Amino acid sequence: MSAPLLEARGVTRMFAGLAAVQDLSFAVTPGAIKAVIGPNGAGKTTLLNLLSGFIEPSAGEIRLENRRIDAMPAHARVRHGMARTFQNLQVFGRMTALENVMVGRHVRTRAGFIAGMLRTPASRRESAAARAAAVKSLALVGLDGRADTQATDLSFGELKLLELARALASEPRLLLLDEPAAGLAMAETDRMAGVIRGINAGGVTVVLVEHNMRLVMSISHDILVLNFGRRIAEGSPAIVQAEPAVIEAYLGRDDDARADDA
Amino acid sequence: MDSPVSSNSVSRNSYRVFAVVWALLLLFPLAAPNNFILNLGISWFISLALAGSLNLLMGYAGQISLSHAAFYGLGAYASGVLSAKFGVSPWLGLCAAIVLTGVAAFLIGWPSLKLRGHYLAMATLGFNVIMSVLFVELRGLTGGPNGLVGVPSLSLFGYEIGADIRFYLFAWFVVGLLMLLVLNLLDSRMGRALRALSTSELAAKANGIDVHAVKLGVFVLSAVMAGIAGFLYVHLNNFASPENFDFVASVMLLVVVALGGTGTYWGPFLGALLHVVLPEALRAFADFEILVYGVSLVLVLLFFPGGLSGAIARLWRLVGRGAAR
Repeated sequence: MSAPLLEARGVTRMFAGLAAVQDLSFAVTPGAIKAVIGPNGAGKTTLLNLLSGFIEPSAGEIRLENRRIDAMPAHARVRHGMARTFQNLQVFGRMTALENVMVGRHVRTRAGFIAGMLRTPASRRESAAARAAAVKSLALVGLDGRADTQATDLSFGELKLLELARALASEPRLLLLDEPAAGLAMAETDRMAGVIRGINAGGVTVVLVEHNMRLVMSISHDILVLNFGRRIAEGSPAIVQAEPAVIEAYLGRDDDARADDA
Repeated sequence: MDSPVSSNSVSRNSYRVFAVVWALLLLFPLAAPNNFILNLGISWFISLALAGSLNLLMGYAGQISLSHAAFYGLGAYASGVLSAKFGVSPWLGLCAAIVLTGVAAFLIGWPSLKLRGHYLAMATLGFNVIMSVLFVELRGLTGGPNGLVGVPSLSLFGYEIGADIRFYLFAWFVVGLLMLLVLNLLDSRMGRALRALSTSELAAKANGIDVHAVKLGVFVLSAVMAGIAGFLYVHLNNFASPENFDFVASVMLLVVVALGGTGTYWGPFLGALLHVVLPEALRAFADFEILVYGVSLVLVLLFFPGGLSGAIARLWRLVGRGAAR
């Protein structure tokens, strides 16, 4: 068994005395697609924000390739091979699709303010390379025909793919997806599933938070189920689906149902 | 298609248009009937440097400065005082203006840009008030409320650059260079980063952008550019007076940028034109000038959120649609 790419040890995050995530430990093996599921308020998005550095844990450790990153600012984690998308789209609306993805190349390029103002040969070469890489990322999600369209003119489904392309442009080893299928129609969801599978086949490890079971069950190798910030189950889709605690968390307990009937 | 949000991208065309505009400006002195009109041209260059610098910060990076007039003044007094009182070469004065405005912006920006919200606006407001007091009270250096007199003109290769065609050409060159540097920046890695963070700081961070560092960098650049405009001003007029650099002047600049159209490259070109022409047109109103500015700001923001450049672009599209029909 290979060493985990990402590891959480005893991670806890308190909000005003309430634990949104409590003493959570899990590992993500390189090359996996791991889904994090759970009822509303289970702490899934909090977990994603902890992993990507938008909030800091109250206790515990997060390790990326065995390096502790829980105190590292969000922007620095991207340099170390972590990228993410957002549940509610965070697209740069005043830029073209291509430019959005070029922003994703930020950590793989170096030109500073002065080099940019002087248009130094190095800065120009870098921009040209970033453009080429961005075109490739767009093609990977099937948006190559929309490169020069202003982002605000793209459809919702296209914007979700655009965010994905932008995250990919940073050449992540670990991609964190916050509800990639939220708001998508069934055909679009299937398209998204295909794109995620393709990205994973290209060697990128994926962690996704998702409500859409159709997507989760079709692409995940491994599922972590949270409820009230704690792990209630973990394993392959088949194991998780058969787990009584999971059924209970999603459907309510048997005697609850009986009480409702009475 | 009419997008709800205007683009802030730099296109290949921007360079071509810029080259044409700047070449035509070289012909302006031939068309100018007298020195008065020529001097309006010089004032326009200086206004453009100011509006362009504030637009870079406010329009593109989304950060509000209420002390751009103070940086303008700091640049003016730095070079003016050094050359008038200490006999230092104005070219060294230019270096001093650049360093002083850059350092001042760094010291204000570093802490205030760490905080979320419009702390930069508040910190710069305070800075402008402090600088206004210093410009007036450091009488020994600045000449106090009467202004700084005896500032020498610039000279280059033994030729004096007086307030005539020579200064016009000099300002044409300096401001042209500054605006070209801005255009280059906008189309570069850091330019994309600063345009990105004004839309979503969250997404900027998620893409590895050190939001604090980029904001600070833009603020410093923008302040230095205003300082260079101050250097031009003081050696053009051989004089500096504190009321040109007070808080009201900073607010006026904000209005100029908004009137021209924020976050568009051409906005400041039009805003600067208003900045130069309106005071002449509004001479009769004298002290009510700021009132006119205020009212026009409200009207523009209500009816033309894209400013003059946005209104013209809309008109252009309407005409195009009409012609296509």
